[in-house]
Amino acid sequence: MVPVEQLLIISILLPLLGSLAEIFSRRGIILTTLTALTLALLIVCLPHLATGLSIQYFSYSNIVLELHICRIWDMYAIAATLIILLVEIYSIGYLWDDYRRGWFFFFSGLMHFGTLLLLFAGDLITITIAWNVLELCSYALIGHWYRDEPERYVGEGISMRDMVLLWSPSAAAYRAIVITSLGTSTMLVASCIAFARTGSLLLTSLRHLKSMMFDIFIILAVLVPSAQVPFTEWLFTAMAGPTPASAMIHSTTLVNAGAFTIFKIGSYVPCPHGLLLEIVLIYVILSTIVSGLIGVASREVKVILAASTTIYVGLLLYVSLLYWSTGATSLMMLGLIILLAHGLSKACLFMTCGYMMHLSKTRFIDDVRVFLRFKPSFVALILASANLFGVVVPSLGFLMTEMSIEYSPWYMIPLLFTSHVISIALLMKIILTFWDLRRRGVESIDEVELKDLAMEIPTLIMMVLPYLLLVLFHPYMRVTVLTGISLGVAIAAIIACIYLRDYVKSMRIIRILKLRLGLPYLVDRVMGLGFKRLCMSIYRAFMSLDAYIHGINILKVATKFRNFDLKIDYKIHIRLPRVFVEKLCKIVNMLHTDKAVRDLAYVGVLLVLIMMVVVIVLLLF
Amino acid sequence: MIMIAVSLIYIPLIIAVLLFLLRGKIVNNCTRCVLSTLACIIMTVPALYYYANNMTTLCEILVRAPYVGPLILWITPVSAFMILVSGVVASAVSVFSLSYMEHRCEELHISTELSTYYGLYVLYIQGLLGMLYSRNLILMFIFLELAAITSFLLILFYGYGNRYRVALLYLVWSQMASLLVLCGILLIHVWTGTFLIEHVTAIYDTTSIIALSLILVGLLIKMGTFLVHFWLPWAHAEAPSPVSAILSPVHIGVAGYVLMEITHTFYVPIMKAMSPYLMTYGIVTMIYGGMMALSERDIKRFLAYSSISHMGSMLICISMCNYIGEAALVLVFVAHALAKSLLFMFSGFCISRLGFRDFENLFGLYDVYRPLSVAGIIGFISLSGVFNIGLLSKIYLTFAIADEVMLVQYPWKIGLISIYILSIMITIAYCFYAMRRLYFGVARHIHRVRPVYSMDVPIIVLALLTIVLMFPPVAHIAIGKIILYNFVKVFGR
Repeated sequence: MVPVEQLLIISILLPLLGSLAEIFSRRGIILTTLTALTLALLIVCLPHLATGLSIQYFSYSNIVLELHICRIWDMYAIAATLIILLVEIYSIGYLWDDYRRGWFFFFSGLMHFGTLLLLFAGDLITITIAWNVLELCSYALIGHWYRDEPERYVGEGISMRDMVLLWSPSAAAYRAIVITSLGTSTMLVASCIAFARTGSLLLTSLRHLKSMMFDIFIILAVLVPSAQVPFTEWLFTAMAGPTPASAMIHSTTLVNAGAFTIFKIGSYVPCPHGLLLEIVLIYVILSTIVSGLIGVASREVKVILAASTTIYVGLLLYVSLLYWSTGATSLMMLGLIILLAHGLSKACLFMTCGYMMHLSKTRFIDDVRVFLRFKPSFVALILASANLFGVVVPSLGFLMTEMSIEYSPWYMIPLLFTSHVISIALLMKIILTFWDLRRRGVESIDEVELKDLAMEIPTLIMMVLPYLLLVLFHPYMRVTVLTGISLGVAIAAIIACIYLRDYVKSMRIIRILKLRLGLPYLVDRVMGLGFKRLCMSIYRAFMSLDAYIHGINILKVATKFRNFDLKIDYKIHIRLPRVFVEKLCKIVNMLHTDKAVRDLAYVGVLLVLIMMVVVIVLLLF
Repeated sequence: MIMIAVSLIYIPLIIAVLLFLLRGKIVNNCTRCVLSTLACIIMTVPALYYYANNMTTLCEILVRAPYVGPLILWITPVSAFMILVSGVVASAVSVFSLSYMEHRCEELHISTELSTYYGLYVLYIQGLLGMLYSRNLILMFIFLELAAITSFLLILFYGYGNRYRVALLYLVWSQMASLLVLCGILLIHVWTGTFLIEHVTAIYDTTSIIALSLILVGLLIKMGTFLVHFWLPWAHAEAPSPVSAILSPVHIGVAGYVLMEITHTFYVPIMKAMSPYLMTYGIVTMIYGGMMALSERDIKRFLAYSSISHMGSMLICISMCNYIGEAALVLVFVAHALAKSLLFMFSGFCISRLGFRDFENLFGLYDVYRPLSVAGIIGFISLSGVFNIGLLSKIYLTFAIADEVMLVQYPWKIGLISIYILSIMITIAYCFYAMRRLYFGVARHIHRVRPVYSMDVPIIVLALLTIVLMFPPVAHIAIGKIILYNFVKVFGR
């Protein structure tokens, strides 16, 4: 008999161990080995998880924290671990000469740990902790190049009113953590509300939770890490990090946290009021359309990919919300298929494009001058995109499109088609650009190194896996009229993209979309700078009040604080309130001589001694 | 048994006197440092003994004084963990002080022998821990005064900027607060006839309400909450860094503990009625502190404003009389004590070894000195509540709030929760804003520094503690004891 419980705990802790080891070893090899071991352990445990398994790891009175693992979540964990493993192998090569390798691997291991914790969570607080871990890791990975070199910046540099769309890694990381912290804190509050209502944190005991507030907070919380419309900005600037970090954040970890959470909660908590959920469903798909359109206008490769991510993450979120309302188990399987299909292909796309960007030292699609030496890379690009397009019949992507249409209510189908067409347009933009490059014949690089192999092999594996893994999911394949329609729409979209390309480029709407609907302005200027100015004015007001309390003319203070120079020995004259004891003021005037200081010190010491005497007298009594 | 009396009062007193007397070349500063660290550790021994024997409460009568009643020293589950953590922080700071204060004395052109500093320091820690140990209100007040006066003297002797004025400002504010607290305590005696912290069955009358308001105002001044905080940024920013590292997290936190102890013993029904208002006030303090910290340009003043923000969260815990509020208070105190003293020591590193204290010059520190930068980052993460012990304290704080908010009327409920979420976001925003300014970029104007072990090791130890305490069992055992104790206390009534 396999000791399933122990093996699962070990498999969760292994990435943590690996990440700790990487602080010192810095090459990523230990972490990769341990991740592979985790994958093996999770696969070994899979057959033994026919009934769910609960592991309590903390309990005090009614605060019980536990991991709840069943077969479907183990499968999710296997899928996530597989993708993360491939990305980690890739990053060994990518970061071979980097100046901060150790911490990169530390945080990628920690991110893996957080993902596993989220997937196996059996209560709301574990979910919240996992969200926090993911949030922190994505912050650290986005801000990986901490020296803020100009070539690491993201943004097209076009100006919008008084701001320039250009962000340093530090700014990108800061935006990411501040925006996602809204999601995390809302999630925390929601779980505490559930605790206050039901007296328990376990998901299994939330069956009778009927709370409008809980539902609203949860839905608000999951929209944030999923990067749905008002919160897309953090994902678009999250590109400042290294490519493997983007691949990891986008394919499996933080962006999917919202959908995973809804799947978790949806199994137990009764679904919210029908109308609310329907509005949210429509909103999510609309938001994917909008963010996809933003990506169409962009010149930056990674932003285009990010927009494509928001579409698929929106789809996953949509499926999870559908699961919450209907409770159909095959939707959970669909979620797994989306995770695999999107995760593998998106990571593959990131790696291929990222490598090309890395070599040509640019982030803009028009400036790519170096093409991959390795021939299959273009094939990888095509195959991964074709998987996401759903045009190749025996692929996970096809299954994903087909199933998501099959399970949707009728009024959602046009919206889903629209978002699918936009995602095709996004990826076609990249493919067509590279196709042109290939025809023109650009310079290539011929040296083969071990680190290049480390980058190419995972890319190749990711390229073929979506097609191979269909073997596991073939029972879900079904051919209906809708399948034919979706296939037709996809092919039509691809052809349209090829022929309408130049026309789209000249459209005026592109210029507007380039400004991302003004969302950067909203986030940076209105929310960021506006809030900062509010803080500054409050600061000035309270500084003047402060000075007024301590007896300085308010007008003089205003000028004084404008040139408020804070150095080690800054001199600010604080006068004690005159209404206070006159004698104290006299002492203050005396204090400018050292002798007076000494006198005062003696007074202080005397006071202490008097205190001591009082204590001793009391003791004697 | 006189264990607490010996280890809290007699031995540290002897050590302090020794430190004052042993001047000149009889001993060197290193010995003084060892002596004072030893005193700090000895003061926490009773708490360790308490945990080792798994007790509920440990009480001992120091002496039966006339009028004042029995002077009782005790350890409850609530105070035990605070004592332990304060002791650890105090020992770390005591080690840190050695090279920092030598540097400071050189800067001030005075003799580098630290006998006065360490003597005052031991007395200061004694005052702080004494407040946590004492059950008699008068004894508590004496320790309060001891801490106030010694910290005043430390600022006066070794502070920055215009230290005479700052020290006097601090003295006046703290004495004002002490006076209010003293009057409140005396009125409580008039009302209940006892100075002991114990449950009484007296009916609330005018005297009791006046006593409550006096104590509330006095201790809020000590804590430095919104609108009575004006002394705090001055005192905390101008004190020498080791003193700030005690003053900021431990001193004002202990004031919060005293407030909690008094209100939760004598005024439970009134506090329950006042709870939404105090909670709102706490959240406003949190937001205010965060906003001021966001616009601050000096690292020490930044940390001082962040302390104000954390005192807001402490006030939220005090405002609830449910069984989880006190656990949350202890966790907030612990998380804040570890992270903030770490960061104040880090600011001490910036001042003494880099020569800057404003954000304009402090950037790109990650390349300047790796170990301390990593420790500082851990401190900021813990302070923001994204991970480490800070996350644990945030979770408990939110538990307590959600428990209380459920009792509030509907529109209020949504409003309170929304501004609470806003306050969490602001906390995260200012911590990461500071991190962005401090660690990112390339600093060409700062040279790399060499390690000074007496300064680096305490900081790194505290950084490790913030991580270790997050995981079971240490903090969880302590919190479990507190929750159980409160259950018994609540149902005992």
